Amino acid sequence: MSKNIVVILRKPPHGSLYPAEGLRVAVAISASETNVVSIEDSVYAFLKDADMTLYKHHLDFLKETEVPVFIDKDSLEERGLTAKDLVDAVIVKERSDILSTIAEADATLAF
Amino acid sequence: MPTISFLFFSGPYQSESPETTIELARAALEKGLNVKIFCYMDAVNCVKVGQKKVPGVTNIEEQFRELIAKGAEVRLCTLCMLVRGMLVRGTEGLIEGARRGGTPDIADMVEESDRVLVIS
Repeated sequence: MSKNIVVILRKPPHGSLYPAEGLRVAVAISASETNVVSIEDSVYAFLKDADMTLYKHHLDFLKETEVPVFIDKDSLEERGLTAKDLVDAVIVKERSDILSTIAEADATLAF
Repeated sequence: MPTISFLFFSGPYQSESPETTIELARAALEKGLNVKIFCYMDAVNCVKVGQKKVPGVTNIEEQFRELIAKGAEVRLCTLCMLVRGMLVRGTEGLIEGARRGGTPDIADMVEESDRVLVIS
C-alpha cells in the first residue's frame, strides 16, 4: 500500500524556489496518496496575481489529478489575505485540519 | 534492515546543514541501517570533486566519499545539476558512486524508507 505523503510548503515564492520545487516534487510523488499544505509565507504563491511561471503547470497537474493543495487559513489571515485572493486550484482549511492532515501522514517533505 | 532517507537541500560551506546530514547518516550506517541521501537544489554541490582542504573546516567531499564507501546511496537531482552548469559529461566531476536521479526517485525513496528526514 502506498504511503500517505504530505508536502509542506513554508517559504515565499519570491526570493526562493522552494514553493516551485515543492510542487514539482508533489507532482513526482502523486502516484502515492499525496496532499500539499501551504503555511506561513508560502501562501503568497497562490495569490491570483502571483507570477506562477515556474509552477503553474505543476499546480494545473495537481488539480487535474485531484491532489489537494490546502492553504492554512491562519497563515492567510496573519497576512491580511482571504480565500478570495487565491486561485481556484487551492482549498483553504482551518489550522486544526492542516495539523490533522500532517499528523496522519506517513512521511512529510518540508520545503 | 530499516532504511532511513535524507532529503537534503543545502550547499557546502555556508551552513552546517551538510555536516548535520553527514553526521546523522554516519550514525545510521554505524547502527546498521540502510541510508539513502537525495541531494536537492544546492546540495548537489556537496559531491563535486576537487573541494579544497582547509584546516579546521570539514571537507564535505571527503565525508561524502566516506559515506558512499560505507554503503550510503547518494542520488543527485539531475535538473538541479543542469541549471547549475554541472552536467558537463555525465557524472564527470562528481564523487564516484554518486548517481544522477530525479524527483521520481524521491517517491521511491519515501516508499522504501522507514523514516525520511528533510534537512534544509
